[in-house]
Amino acid sequence: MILLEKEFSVYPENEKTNMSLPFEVGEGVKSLKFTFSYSPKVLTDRKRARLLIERNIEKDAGEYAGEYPSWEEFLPLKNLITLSVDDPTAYRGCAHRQAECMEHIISDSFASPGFNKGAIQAGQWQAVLNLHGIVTEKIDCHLKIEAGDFLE
Amino acid sequence: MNKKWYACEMHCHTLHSDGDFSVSGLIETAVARHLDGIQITDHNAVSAHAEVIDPPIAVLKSIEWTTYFGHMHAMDCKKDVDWRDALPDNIDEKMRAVHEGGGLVGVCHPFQLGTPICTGGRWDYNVKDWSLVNYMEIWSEGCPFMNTPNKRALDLWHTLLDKGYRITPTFGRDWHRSTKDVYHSACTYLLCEGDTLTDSAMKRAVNEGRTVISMGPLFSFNIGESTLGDEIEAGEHEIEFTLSFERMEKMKVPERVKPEVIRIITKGGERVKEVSPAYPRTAITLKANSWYNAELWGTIDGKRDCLIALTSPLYTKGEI
Repeated sequence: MILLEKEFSVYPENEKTNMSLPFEVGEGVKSLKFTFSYSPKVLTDRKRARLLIERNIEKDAGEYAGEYPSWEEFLPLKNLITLSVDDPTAYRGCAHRQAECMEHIISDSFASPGFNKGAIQAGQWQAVLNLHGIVTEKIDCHLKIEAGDFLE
Repeated sequence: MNKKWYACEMHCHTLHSDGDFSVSGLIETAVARHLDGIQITDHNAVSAHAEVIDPPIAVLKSIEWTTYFGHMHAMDCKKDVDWRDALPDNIDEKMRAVHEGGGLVGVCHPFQLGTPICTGGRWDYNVKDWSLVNYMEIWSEGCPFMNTPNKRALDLWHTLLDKGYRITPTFGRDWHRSTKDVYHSACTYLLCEGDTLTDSAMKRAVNEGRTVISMGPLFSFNIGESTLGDEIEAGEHEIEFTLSFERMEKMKVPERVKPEVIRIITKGGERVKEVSPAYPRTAITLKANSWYNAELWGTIDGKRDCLIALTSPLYTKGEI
C-alpha cells in the first residue's frame, strides 16, 4: 500500500536545509519501503562547475588557495541528497551515500544499511530529505513510501 | 594499574554510510594492520553498532555528524541528538546535548574543503565555548604530513591550547576503503589502563588527553611519574622520551620513517628545545600555566623535514 508518493523539485537556495515529509503508518504494518531518486546527479556545465569550485576553494582555503590543484581536479561536482527517517518517537537512521536512486526497507527484523531495525509503530512518521549539496539549477525528486511485507 | 600504549584508528566508515567495508571486513582489516582498537563513525547512522558482536579488538561505537556546517564525532553517546538542525550558532547546545548523553565531542578535519566539493566538510560552526570540544582531528586522511588542511588544524589547535582549552589531538584516516591509503602505519596511540584494550578505556584516554598521533612509531615522553594529559608544577624537570618501532616492524615498514630531531613545543607554537632521538633525556625549565608537547621530525620516504609524530600536551599549574 502506498503511504506517500510525491514528485517535487529543489533549488540551490534550499541547499543545507531539510525537507520533512510526514506520513501516517497504521496498525499492524510489518515493514516500510522507501524508494527515492533524484536527477541530475552530476553538474555537466563546466562554466558553472568552475565558478562553484573556485568559490569553494576561495572560501575554505583562503590564503592557502594556491596550495590546491586546478579546479578541474575537483570535477565532477555532484548533487547530494540523503534520506533520513524518524518513527513517531525516534530517529531511525539515514542512508548517507552518493547513489541517486535508492530503495530502503525498515522492518521489525531487518533494515537496510544506515537504518535501525525494530517495531514499525503506528502513528506519524517523517521522511526527511537532507539537502547537502545542490550544484545544478534544479533537482527533480521522486519519493514513494509503501507499507507491506517486504523482504530484505 | 599499569598503563600501555595501544594503536587505534579513530575514524572509520562502513556500508552503513558511504564506506566500502562491511563491519566484519573493517575489523579484519584493522587486525591485519596491527591495530588494537577502532572507532566506528558512520555518517549520521548508528546501525553498524548492532553488527559488532564479540570483536577481536576494541570497537568504540560512535557517529560522525555529517552536517551542513561541519563534521563532528559524537563518541559513545547514549542519547539520540539530532544532527539535522545543527546551525552555525547553536552548535554549543548541540555539543552540550552530546555530553548529557555521556558522549565526547570531536571536531573532524576542520579545514577540509566544504560544500560542494565535500559537503559540510569544512568546520563553519561558531563555537562559543571550546571546552565543549574533547578532541580535534588535527591529522586527517592517509597521507597526513603532506596535507595543507592538517597544518592549519595544527595552528588552530595551538591557538586553542594557548587560550587554556585542553583539547586532545587525534589522527583520523577517514577510512572508507583500503585502496587510497598511503601510510598504513599511521595511527592514533592511546595510553590506556589494562592488558587488554576496551572501548571504555579508549574513550577515557581521549577524555584525559593521553594520545599520540603518528605516521607509525610510538613516540612519547614523561617527566618522572607524570605523562601526557597530566598537570605538574612548573620549574626544573628532567624530561624523558620513548620511541618504539615495534608495530612498524610487525607491519614490515620501519625503514620508511627516520626520526632526526625531537622538538619540545609550548605556547604560541614556540620551540623550546631540540633534542636528538639518540639522547632521549634532557633537563627542561617549565613555565607556569602553560602546555608542553613534543613533536618528532625526520625523513619519511626520502622526504626531509616531515612531522612524524606529535603528542598530547602535559600541562603546568597556574602559580608557583
